[in-house]
Amino acid sequence: MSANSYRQAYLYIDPRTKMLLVLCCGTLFNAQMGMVAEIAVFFVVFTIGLFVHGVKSAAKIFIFYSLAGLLPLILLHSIEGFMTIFFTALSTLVLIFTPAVYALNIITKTTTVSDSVSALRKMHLSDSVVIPIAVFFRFVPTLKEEWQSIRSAMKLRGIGTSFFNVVRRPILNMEYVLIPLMMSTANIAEELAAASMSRGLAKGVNRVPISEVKFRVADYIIIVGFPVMLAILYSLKQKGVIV
Amino acid sequence: MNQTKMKTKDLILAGAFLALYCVVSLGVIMVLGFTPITFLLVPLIVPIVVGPVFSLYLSKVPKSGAILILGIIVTLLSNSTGYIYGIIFGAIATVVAELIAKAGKYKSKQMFSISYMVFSLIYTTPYMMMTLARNAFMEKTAMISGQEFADVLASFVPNWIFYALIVLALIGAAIGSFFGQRVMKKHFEKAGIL
Amino acid sequence: MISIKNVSYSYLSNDELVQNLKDINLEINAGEVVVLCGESGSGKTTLTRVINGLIPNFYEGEMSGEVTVGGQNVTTQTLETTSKTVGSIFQNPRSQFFNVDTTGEVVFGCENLALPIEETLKRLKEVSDLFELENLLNRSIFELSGGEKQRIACASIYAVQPEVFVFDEPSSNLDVHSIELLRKAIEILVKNKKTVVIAEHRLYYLADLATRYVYMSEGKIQCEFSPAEMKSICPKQRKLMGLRNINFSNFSERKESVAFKESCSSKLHIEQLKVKYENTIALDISDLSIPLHTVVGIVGENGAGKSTFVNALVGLKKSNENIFLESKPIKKKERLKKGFMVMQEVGHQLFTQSVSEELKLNIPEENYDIVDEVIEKLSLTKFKDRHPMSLSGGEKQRVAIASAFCAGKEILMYDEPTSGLDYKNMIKTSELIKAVSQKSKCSILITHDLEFILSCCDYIVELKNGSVADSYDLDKEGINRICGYFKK
Repeated sequence: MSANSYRQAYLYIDPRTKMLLVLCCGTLFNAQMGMVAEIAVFFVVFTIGLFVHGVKSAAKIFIFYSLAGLLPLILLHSIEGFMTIFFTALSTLVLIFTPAVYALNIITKTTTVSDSVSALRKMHLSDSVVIPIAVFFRFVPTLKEEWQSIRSAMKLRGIGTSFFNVVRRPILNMEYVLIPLMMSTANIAEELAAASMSRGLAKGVNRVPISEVKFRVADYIIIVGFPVMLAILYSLKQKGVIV
Repeated sequence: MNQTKMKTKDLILAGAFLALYCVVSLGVIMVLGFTPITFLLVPLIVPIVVGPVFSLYLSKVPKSGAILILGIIVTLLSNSTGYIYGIIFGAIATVVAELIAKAGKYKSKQMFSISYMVFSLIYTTPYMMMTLARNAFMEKTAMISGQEFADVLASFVPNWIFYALIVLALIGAAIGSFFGQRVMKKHFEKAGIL
Repeated sequence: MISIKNVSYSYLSNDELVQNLKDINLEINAGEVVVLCGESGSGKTTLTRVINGLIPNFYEGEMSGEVTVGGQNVTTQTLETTSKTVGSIFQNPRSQFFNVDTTGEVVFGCENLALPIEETLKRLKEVSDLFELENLLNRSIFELSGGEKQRIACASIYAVQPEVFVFDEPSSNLDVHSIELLRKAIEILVKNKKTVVIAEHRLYYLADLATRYVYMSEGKIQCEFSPAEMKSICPKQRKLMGLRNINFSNFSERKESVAFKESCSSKLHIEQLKVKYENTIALDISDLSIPLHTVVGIVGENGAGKSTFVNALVGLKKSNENIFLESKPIKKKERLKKGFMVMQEVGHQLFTQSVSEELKLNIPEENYDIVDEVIEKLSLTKFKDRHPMSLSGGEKQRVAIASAFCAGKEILMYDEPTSGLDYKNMIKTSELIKAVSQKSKCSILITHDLEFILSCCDYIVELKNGSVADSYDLDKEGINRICGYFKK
């Protein structure tokens, strides 16, 4: 994570708006929206991501999208045979899934834990749902760190390294990975719970966070504009006006 | 009665185990998702691998709602394509699993096993369309991966694939539950982390 | 301020009743800085948990007696209520923080108290100035060093303005520089007349701050010392009590090491070792010779490249390299095969359900008889069938080292093997490493524990900014040099 990740680059949008973003990208999954819609969705998310997450990550996604999604389409005319299937498959997958993946990335990298708790509470979800979800996001990077350490330890002992060995005794190798990870999770989770509770975190307790979660101009534009755009493009596709 | 309600400590532990469960599931799915055949084996294999995590989770948080939280998140993640019947099916499986565990007063290991078997049906939901809405599914696949791929898939995937996968998931969960209990005994109880 | 009356605590572990505290009576006045010291398992940590209410409101078990802090009964009230009076700082930076962003973490406690926003922001500014947080705010906590994380933790608790601060071995995972920052933070607390209770092994950094020492053993308070009394305990008595050294001026008993001649072939010669990390050069070592069959200590500040060095050497990191073992080139793959590292998180390295299984892991069957030999030699016989994860930190380390032995590893690295160890265990580790270094080719340890270095190292390599600043034997002059290095 770069130093910029917890500063929203130029624009701040409500976590709930970000969730709506993901849902809108999700409409592409049934492959009924058509290619124009898919590309339009990408550009909307890309623009939002540019201002919310930062230039660096937006640039990376753009390059990936162009090379793996758009380029194969352009090259489609000049190749034939087996490669056609591959290129079509690759391009379609990228076009359909990249916006959603990017939108999810925006959520996880630019939403603070405090904001996610506030947003979920504003949606009138009970703390029994809010707290586990907040902890979920807090925990995933920790799991990544633990996993890397365990992987190094496995390399040192020479277990789980060769593909052949793993396939030969799968259950044993699964144990090697799972056990340290599970023990680690159980320990860290307990420490985290003790620390948080001794600092006043409790179910049902009212918090006053310093960053207020509320809808602003940008949120309203996205909440209204994005679904409307999708609806228009969908009907145009059904009428056969666009591809 | 208050003993089975989730308190703050339980909620935090639940979040951590939720993360572990999802990350491990996702890891296995990504490995298996590459070829069509292994892709169909997900409902069998994932419940086996994740069995121990489920067992540890329930032994640390033997409370009302533990399974519900896990189930809702997993259902939503499995059905991100938005197939509404998949979500409903997953939600029902979750609730039933929770009720079964409740019937065992959140203590009975046998009930936990049965609960897990029902719970694991969530993993079959992404494949529901292949049986119940076969044409729509094939059209979609054709659009994504090309007509030839869809034809190949259609040729070896029978109509009753969904029901077959349900059976596979139940078998996988039974194995996973057994594996989970074994791991708990062999490691966690022995190490005194329980 | 704090009143502990007739407190006893026990809990079930593996169907056995463990009694952690036996009939504790202690009174602590406002403004005192009380250091709870004693061997591992003496009950220090448990006592801190009784003060901040985690026992019995979080940890299960049987507790009797009464604990009041500032007139409130922390045993019976909820943790949220107690959090207003007692702030707790724990030993593991990685698992204390609830947020991922530093600013959010600092205000976490205030937000939970539902203070009005202006008040919270005011306090944020206060603690930011007090603890010098300017370049730490608005960042991801995962980027911070251990010491910086503890500073954020201190600031976060301070913002809530509790009267009492409870620390549970806060310096365990910190290096020298970070410990100094921690000491400064505690100094600020003292200046502001807070009551501080610290359970600790490392006593030197608290020498000038403590107002009273409470020595615990086997769950009971054995005796108390004033700071003057503590400083005048003779080394023999101190070692019997299992306490670490309190100042660094008397390290007389230490035999000098044999000087290392660079020309002899019994060495690990690093002609070049470069590691890149995200377009910057994290490590650049050229022409370094490390003597074999000795214990080599690597010291350096946080970020100097110690971990990178050791990881690259053992073959876990990509590097540009030219390394020779006994005048023969040795590549990454071979180093991985021959090398082993005892990690800080030993738990990540133990994979099976019994110690003997662990030692037999991944070695050819013909070598199984070595296992029993090693178990004997390393005094692990009574743990033979125990689950590795049920052992204490020091015992787990021994199992990890034993596993390296059985696997025939020749290049051994140790990453901070003594963090959180009391005196007796530190000495045990030191003797073990010395014994092992005779049999294996190369023994390299990363440490900032001066007592430990003087106890077992023969050669020192100082790293700074990714390259070697100095390397020398631990002869008389070397000893002065290393003591000087730590005094800075």
